[in-house]
Amino acid sequence: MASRGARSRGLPEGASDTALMMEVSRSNEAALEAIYRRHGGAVYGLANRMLSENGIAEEITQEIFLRLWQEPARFDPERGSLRTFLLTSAHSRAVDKIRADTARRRREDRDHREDPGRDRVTPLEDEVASLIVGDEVRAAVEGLPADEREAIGLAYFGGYSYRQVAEMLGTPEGTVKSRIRHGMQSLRALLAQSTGVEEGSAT
Amino acid sequence: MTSSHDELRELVAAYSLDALEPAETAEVAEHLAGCAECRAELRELRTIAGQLGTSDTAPPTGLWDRISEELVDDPPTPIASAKRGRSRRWVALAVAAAIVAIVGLGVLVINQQRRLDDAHREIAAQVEGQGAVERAARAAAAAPGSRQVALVSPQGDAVADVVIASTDEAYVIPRSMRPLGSGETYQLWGKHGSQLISLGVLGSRPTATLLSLPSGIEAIAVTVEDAPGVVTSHHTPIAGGSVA
Repeated sequence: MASRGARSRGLPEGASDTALMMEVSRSNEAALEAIYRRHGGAVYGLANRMLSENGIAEEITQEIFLRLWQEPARFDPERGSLRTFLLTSAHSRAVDKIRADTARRRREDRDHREDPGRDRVTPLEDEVASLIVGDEVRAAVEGLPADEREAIGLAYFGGYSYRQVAEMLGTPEGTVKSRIRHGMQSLRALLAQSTGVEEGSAT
Repeated sequence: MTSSHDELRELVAAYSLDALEPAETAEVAEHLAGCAECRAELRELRTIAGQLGTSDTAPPTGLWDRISEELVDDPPTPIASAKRGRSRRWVALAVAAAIVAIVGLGVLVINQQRRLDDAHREIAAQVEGQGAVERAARAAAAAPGSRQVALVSPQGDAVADVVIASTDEAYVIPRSMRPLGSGETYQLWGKHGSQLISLGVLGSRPTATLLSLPSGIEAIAVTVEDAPGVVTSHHTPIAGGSVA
């Protein structure tokens, strides 16, 4: 345990995410733990909403934080906040798992070809908002046209590609692509001022 | 298939949600590497996507302990260039090219931030005073076995000297480092194999500073960064020197 102690130097109270990341890249475990306390729940919560199978969200959270420890320079503050980076990483890992799992099931059991969403969240347009935690973001999403909300919800929380969404809804691919684009642009316009969930404010 | 900027830009929103097919993902990623406009858009869209996904969920009890245990068995290793995404690589290459121009070494450089040991700095700066550090640096330079590296700008000006007494004791002695604005700082980087490791942040008006130099550093470079320093440098070094 002595070596553990050596890795944990004191941290200033309320250190910014960027300052904590600098400490992580100096192998300061206390800094990684502080980041975990700040953002680990959000990482876990996202993976858990996307994947219904027990244990996978935990596995993804573990992977994300180990990778942050091993490759801290992958986080580039110029490309967004640490929370966005972690959630982007968690989302992309969850999508990988969903797609790998779907492909495996298709190989194993042709019956599931008709049911690609059996083991994942498949939010219909009226349920998307219930998956969103922040009041302001939820209100913005509820304000979107139903078809845009549905396309974004299936893509983001369901982990479906826009082509799969088009197939599921029986809608042309180009239409789904535009709904995603238009919906995201609207959210950007609505939420541009509210970066309250960003760096440092979460405790 | 080669798609136009407009066609690819159409896909950035779906890309931000990981909702493209693999071939399209690769095409958009390649485009992003060279298109600042689309990168800026992606940055904003990813922030929005993150807001959709964020929550104040409590992680499962004991999960941190399990992560922490893994850390013991798996100490951090600086990243390898091959693992990095294409969009990052151009930045790394730009920095690499700059370093190569200065120190004449032809290896891909990757940044990894290490900061000066705060305790070191505090002891050096506050207890002994800056003059003491300067005297210690001069003494180290005169001691047998120490090495000295001149950090030279592309114009040939000696910007600073680094005196290496031992792994735990190296000093940077500024020679011609102009004072920076209060929002900027000099930052020192060490090249180790294919990585670029931050050796410390020197502030906007550097004085003689004690630093610890990881073993195996082959070259040292100085950049000017926004205060309080950066994890990954995007700037061309103003000076460098080889630790041979």
